[in-house]
Amino acid sequence: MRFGPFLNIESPINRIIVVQVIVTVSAAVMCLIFGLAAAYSTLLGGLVCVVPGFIAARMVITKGVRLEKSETGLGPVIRSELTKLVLSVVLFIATFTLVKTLDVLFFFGAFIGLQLVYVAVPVMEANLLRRRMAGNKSG
Amino acid sequence: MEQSLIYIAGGILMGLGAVGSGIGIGMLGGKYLEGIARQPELQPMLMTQLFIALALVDAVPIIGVGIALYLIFAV
Repeated sequence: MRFGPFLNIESPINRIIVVQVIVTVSAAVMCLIFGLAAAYSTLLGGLVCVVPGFIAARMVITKGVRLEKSETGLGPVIRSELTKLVLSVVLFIATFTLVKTLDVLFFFGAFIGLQLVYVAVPVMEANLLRRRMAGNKSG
Repeated sequence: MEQSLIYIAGGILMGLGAVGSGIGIGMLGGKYLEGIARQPELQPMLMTQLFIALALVDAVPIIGVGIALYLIFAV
């Protein structure tokens, strides 16, 4: 499935990012129960995780698709990881200095929860594939 | 005195996280290069898997960096 030129959901990286965006928005909406500060803290925690991940993924995918002889090594991955780290640090500093009424528990809860998506999505996909293969064998 | 202890704590948080992720990323990168040396045609698939694994390895140090920056800038 393709959503425009920027989002090819067939790529596993993009699938993880789409799940992260969905989890962020739904968690922020659910956290409205605890108040507005909790909701926007959750949203900010999610964005600090998703935005650097998305930009790093774009760098890897565009470099990975257009394979050149000089780009077959670790270069694109290391550049994207460096960008991700720097962006994360900048967003953390911006959040902590600009947002005065931040609910830290919700902020870090959302951030850590979204990091777990990196584990959850591949594991769920592997389980789904295993079940499908088991179903094909029995059927 | 308290503020300087917070800076030291933040530094230790970031530093120890960086040691762990450095070892992990080094091992991952080495295995990735071995993989593309053996089967160069699998390079795009291996790069995607490498990127996901790198994000996993990076998760804990980045959480450490976040908490350290919170200690330094907000506490």
